[in-house]
Amino acid sequence: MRQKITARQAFLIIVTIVSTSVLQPSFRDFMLWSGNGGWLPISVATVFGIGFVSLVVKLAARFPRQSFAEYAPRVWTPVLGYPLVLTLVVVFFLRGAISLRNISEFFVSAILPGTPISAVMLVMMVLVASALFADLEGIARFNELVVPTLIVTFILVFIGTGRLNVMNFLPLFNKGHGGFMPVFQSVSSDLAIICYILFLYPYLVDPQSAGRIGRRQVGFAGSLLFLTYINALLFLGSSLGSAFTWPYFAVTENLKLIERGEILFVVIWVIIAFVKISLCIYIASLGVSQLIPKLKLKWVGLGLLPIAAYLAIRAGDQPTALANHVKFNRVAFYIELGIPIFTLLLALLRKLGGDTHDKATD
Amino acid sequence: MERRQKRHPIPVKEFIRKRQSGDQASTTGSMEQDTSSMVTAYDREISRDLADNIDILQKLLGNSDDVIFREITIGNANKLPAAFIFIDGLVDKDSVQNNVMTPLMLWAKQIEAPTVTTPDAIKDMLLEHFIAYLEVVPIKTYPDVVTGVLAADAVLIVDGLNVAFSLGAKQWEHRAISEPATENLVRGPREGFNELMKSSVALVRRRVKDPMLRVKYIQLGKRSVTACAILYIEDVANPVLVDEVKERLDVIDIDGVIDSGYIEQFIQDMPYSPFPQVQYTERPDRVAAALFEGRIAIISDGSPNALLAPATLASFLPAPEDYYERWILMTFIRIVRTLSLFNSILLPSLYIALLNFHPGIIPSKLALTIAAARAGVPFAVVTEAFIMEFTFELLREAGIRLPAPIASTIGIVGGIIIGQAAVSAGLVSPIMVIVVALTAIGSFAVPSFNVALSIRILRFPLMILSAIFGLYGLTAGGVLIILHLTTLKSFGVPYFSPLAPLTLSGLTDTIVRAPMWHHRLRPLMYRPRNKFRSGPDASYFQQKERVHEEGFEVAPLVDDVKKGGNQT
Repeated sequence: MRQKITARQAFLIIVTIVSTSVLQPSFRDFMLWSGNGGWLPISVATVFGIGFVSLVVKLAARFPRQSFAEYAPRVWTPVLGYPLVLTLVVVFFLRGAISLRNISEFFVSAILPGTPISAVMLVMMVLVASALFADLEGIARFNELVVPTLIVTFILVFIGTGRLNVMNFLPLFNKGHGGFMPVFQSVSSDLAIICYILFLYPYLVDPQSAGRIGRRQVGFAGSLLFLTYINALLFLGSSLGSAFTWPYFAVTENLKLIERGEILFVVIWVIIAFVKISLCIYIASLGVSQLIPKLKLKWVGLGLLPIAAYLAIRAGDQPTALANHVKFNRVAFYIELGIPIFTLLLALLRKLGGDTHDKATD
Repeated sequence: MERRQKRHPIPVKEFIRKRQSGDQASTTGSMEQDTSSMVTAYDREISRDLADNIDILQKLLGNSDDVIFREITIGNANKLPAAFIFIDGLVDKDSVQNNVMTPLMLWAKQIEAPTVTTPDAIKDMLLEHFIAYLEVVPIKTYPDVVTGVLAADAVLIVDGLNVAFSLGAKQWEHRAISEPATENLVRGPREGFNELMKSSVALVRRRVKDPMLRVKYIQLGKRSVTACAILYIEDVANPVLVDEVKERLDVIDIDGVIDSGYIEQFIQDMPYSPFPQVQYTERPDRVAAALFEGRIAIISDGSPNALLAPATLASFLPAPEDYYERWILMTFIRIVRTLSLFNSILLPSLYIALLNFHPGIIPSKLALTIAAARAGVPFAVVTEAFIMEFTFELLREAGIRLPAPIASTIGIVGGIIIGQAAVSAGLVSPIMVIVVALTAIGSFAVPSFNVALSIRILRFPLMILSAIFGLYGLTAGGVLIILHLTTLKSFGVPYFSPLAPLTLSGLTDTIVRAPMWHHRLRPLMYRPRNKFRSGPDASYFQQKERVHEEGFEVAPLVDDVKKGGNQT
């Protein structure tokens, strides 16, 4: 029997996933590319994400009891359909592997200096493996508990950073408009993970509310990203901020609330990083198990985990590994965006699914 | 289906069969195969011949010395032989003697009347005129007689009748109803269950005078034949849940059920979890409250603890007193209790993590104090913590097993003398003693002993993780525990509800204890048939507000009463 989650739980995961962008070196790149105007592409990407969620849910709703792996071969023909599903699966898998390396690098730098990165990754792998056994229902419930705590940490950081300089906004577009697109792509790519709904749609308890709740949650996640970016920008300024590998962490290091309080926030962030990596690996495993029904999801996941860890370790030194995140996001943006859009378009043209489903199958 | 039938033997038949086979079946493991011819021979109606009956029943009951066969003669002229069969110590002998035996032996002239000649007439005459008992059940087969005798009834067999009479004459020594030893309250009822199931059921029934309260008796344990009662309110409890509980109890296949703890272990969802998935309580008020929530209670004979199912983590944390006091006070107490829960699970691990990996997070002055206190301690922080925690667990265990006056001495010796001596000898730091003491106090603040025990156990792996990875390890351990809790279920109800999955109405009774009139909905995670437990305006002032909003003046009820009082 398929485990069921609510649409709200499904989309709260977006909040967690997008929030990890705050931790990853994304903010440094945003400040580097867009400078003081980085908030603009974040806002635009949020609005774009709200539209994208509608599109994804619309596509999924055309095939209510099927996942993308089940209907893509029908829409695209098996020759094209299976590679497309596999492409999405690989994107999720690589996202998981890259996040594993990024987050491990972050923990080693922030709280565990001198610890081998492989040890940090090993613990994370154990956590992810346990999440695979907890199944989607467990991950979703866990995440439901985490999100309020996460929001509280962001609020505490905002309150705790005493010195916010509004002048850091100026000049408004000091880096020109050239940086708009990379930031937009990066944020949109994080938000485009919404397309995991294509695999999960048959698991939703209340699919009718998926679109409405999805738009709200994506809007909320984008706003969170926007506010944290503004927080970092006002505190550090774009030139100082881009000098740090993890600018937001630099903000928390200067909190007035408690001495070395950033360590406590890191604890919360360990948790959200875990949710992100777990979910990426879970979705990749789900995709594979839906493509090849004989393979059990948990065992696929356990098989993928060491491969992800191997790729993460083999990604090179820290700067190279962190740069991979940027490159990947820009490519993933087109894949995650393109596949649902073109699938929906083709389904509409071929009158497959939705109201026309019966006619088409007849 | 076939397997299910095999696992549901009629207890008495099983009992008889095992008696006939001399218990060899259980040792050889061939219980199901050994359906001896004796079983089929005796699974039949009792004979009209008293001597035969006594002979067979003596065989079935194994000639035990505590099984009494008292033969008497009814009347003088016809001299109708009869026998009482009962177990010494389980039957109210005075009552049987005065209400049945004496009338039969001394005043049974009516039986000798010429009209009373047929067995049916004798049976009717006995029931109508001589057996002065409320509970009399005519029984017809040998297994029923054995069941009756073992269930502490006195059985009367009369020569010439192929029916026996089971007299409800149970009486044995038992503990009086007293204050629950493990669930003390400052405010609230002082009654607790004792080991008598019927007495416990009656205590609940006294609090739930609802005709929809259902009490279903079942027997568990092939040899112990322990009587159990399932209690639920029919129009509140979810029927699927009721069936699930009955089904899980039905499949229990064990020799003896000595305490309700046995049942708990057989019906839980995840037996390998350290967390209890069925709640137990000694308090009838707690059971009544649970029944009103749509939960199901199981009371077993011989145990003063009733089981409540389903159970969520949130259901273990409140004490019954939380609902008897004002909500603001009890909300504060609950916050303290929740913090103490975190304290008891995290404090030693946090101490290890901070000292070993993140001393920078400790305020400078405190860090210096700790460093000064630890100067000269020969052990690493983690070793020191383990020594102290283990010593404390040892003292606690010893204290529980000893009589109360000695236990307090152990507490003093362990807590003060050993602790002081260990610090003076430089084996442990005073800070560590404080950490362990705070941890212990925190675990005592958790109202449920079994949840506190789970936390005590989980503390040790967390300490190890903290010692290896610092806060990262502690967080990883915490994630694993929470992930486990979010996947755990009790009778299909998520263990971490109402927090995950989130139900907003349920949050009024978690860390915050909202005013009683806000508890309008029963906990929805139990999926009750009837969702509401109070009306929209359940309190006086709510009604007053409603009347005020609707533009009427408040009926001056209190004033009227006062006026009336003055006039009289």
